Amino acid sequence: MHKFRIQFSKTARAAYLSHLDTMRTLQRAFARAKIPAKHTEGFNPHAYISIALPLSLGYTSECEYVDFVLLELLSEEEVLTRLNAALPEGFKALRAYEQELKVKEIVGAKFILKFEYDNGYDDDTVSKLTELFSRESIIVMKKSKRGETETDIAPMIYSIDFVPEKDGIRVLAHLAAGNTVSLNPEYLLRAIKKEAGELLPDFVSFHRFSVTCTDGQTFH
Amino acid sequence: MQKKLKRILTRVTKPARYTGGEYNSVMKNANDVRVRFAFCFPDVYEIGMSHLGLRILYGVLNEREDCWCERVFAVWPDMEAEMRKEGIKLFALESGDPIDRFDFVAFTLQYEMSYTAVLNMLDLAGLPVYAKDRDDSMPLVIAGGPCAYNPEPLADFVDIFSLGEGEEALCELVDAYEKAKDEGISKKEFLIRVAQIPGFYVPSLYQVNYHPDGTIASVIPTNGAPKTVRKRIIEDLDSVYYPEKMIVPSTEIVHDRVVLEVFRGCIRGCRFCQAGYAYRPVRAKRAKTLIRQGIGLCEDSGYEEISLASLSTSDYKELPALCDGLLEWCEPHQTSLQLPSLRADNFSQELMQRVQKVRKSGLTFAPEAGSARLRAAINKNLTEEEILHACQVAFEGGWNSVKLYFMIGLPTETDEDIVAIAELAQKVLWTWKRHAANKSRGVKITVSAACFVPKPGTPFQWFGQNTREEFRRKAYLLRDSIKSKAITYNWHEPDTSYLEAVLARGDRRMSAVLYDVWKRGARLDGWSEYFDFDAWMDAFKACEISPEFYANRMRGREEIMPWEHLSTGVSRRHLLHEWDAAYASCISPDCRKQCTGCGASDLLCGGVCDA
Repeated sequence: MHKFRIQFSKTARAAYLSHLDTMRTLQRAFARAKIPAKHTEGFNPHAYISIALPLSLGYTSECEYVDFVLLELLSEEEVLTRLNAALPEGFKALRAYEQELKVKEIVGAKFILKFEYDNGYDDDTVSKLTELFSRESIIVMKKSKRGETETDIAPMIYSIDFVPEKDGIRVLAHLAAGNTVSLNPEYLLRAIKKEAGELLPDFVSFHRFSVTCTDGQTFH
Repeated sequence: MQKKLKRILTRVTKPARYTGGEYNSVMKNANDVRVRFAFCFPDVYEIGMSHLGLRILYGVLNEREDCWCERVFAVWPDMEAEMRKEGIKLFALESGDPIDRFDFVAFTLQYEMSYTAVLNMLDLAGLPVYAKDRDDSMPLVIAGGPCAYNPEPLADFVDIFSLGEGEEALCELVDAYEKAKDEGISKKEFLIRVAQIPGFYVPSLYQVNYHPDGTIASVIPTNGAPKTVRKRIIEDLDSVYYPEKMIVPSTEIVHDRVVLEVFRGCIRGCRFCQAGYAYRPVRAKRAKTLIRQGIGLCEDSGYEEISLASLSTSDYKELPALCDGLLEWCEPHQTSLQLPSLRADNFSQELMQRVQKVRKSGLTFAPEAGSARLRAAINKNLTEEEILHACQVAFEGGWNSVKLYFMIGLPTETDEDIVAIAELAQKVLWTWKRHAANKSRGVKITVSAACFVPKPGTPFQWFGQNTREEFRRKAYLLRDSIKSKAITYNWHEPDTSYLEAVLARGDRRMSAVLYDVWKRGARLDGWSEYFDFDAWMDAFKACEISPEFYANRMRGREEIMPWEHLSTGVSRRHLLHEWDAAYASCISPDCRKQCTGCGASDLLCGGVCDA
């Protein structure tokens, strides 16, 4: 019994697979790759796997983590080679190793958002956005276990930077993530819509590039 | 992926339907191939990807280095609205390229209610829906599948119909196309040439004349097209191509498992069943071949479920050897085996236990008719004792849920036959009471009644379908005859069955109706939320076409059918013989007991059917 973890990326066409579809795809890939993973019980046994932080539909990521139990020890390279041969387009296993950190230690996630403005954006858009997100408190309607409530999301934004680029604005955001408090980057757009609707981009793409732990170190 | 599409995909439901990129989907370089082939399924991804024929022909065509076959499905209305708004044309999943510059746009016609989706897909691709409006630079539109045995309602829209099994025929078509491309001949000349390849029907080369009463007077071939186009078959299923790699969808589809095709054809001769007649003669695969292919497919795909496909699977001679061979591999590999199409008569406890070893699924029987007399008339050669014995075996084995499928509106049916359905269900309930292994869990008996649709190429092709009012009356009669709460009764409104009857036996004048109803918004008629019966009635009215003429009219024995010039290999004489036998409530033996000389064995070189 070896508690294993794989870090993988989910990009291109694979971004449009839901969390459930991703689970299904990984389970089948595990079967194809003949990874000796522990299986679930029941009529439809399949590899027992869990994904650390479900990714929203349409997002790309280079820091997805899937945990499972290896029944017989394989080398990390062996797991990677076999799995990458079995994964469909858009998935790539990057690292395989025995689990060290616990999933519950996750407190944050870093995203790159690309704001696209079809008719360009004003010179002061970046400064206005920066001002908006440096406020003491930013109140938006946010889903919680008790339904939608007015929530201050400012404490859930660890850091946010807006970088003007030729074809839009690049946003680097470090947001709360994990079991206790979690902020989906969609709420950044809600805040913009509510506070300064004219700054709202026409389209946004989302990419998760890092997951972080309590002391600021990168989860792995 | 283009920017516009990227944006749309974040807004529509289930975007994974539209992205492709699944494991084993075939990617090629468009510049390296001579022929781009769009295999279109006129329904959504989840339905289309469950279709075995698509997977076989996709594999056959992609084996060729000179051809790239890609998949195209109907899109859900939210996606259609976005595509039309953004000016995105219907595209193929593999390359993402719009299909209006492909060489072939091919549709598989599995059910009549998908016809409007064919028109809508052509339009969404930016192609004129009428064949006569498409010029030589546009793709050839071809269609095949079971509905192609009477393709006349689509005659104005499709350039070429392919009759029968496509593994060899499609390759011959592609070869002929490449040759024509080299020679630079026109589309019209090419179509004349294609009509000479066995199994291909070019509707524009046939002139149809009508009597004043609306029936067909004559069908006249032109430009040397054959008088009769006969379907193609594959003679040897052991050596024909079968995919060793199947696309594994990343998102859930309806039939999400490895499928093994055990045999083609059926020995039974149920008189209502189009598949039973259209897929003759019987040709089986060896168990050895199937076991090898099944294990290979499971290993390659990662699927942990395998299912056997054919008509009446329990008629497969080597079934015990096949099940043993597969289970030997399945059990240690935690893979389940499904036998979907079992007949009640030779249902054995032993077979059931074999399958049960891995997984216990629900039981389904299709007596089709309630009384022995009507079962004889439709040639569903199954006795009440056999049904009840099969149920007894099942209940003793621990099953506690049985589904029974019936049809109402069958030829020769009386009210006594309807009431007999309820009586049969009641007897199944008594059987449970007497034999259930564990009564504490209760029992669920489901009776489903479908409205009978007469189909071309069957002995019932002459039959006038019951009116919708008659169907409703019979459905209520059945409902009121069921007394027990343990029996659940399902039935469907007859509207769809009525339209199916119109389209199934429609002639080319139906093309105008299809165009009209599509213009009125029909596009996913197989989906109840998008099916609008009134739109169809309005279309019939606007086109001055009487649906009753096609659905409810009893045909004369001598009448020329719209599909008279197309042949499944089964002779008209045989169909008439069976039609008469039905009215005499007379059973015909199954093909294994005694050959009835239907004519389909002439399709084989040796002329010997493997019944």
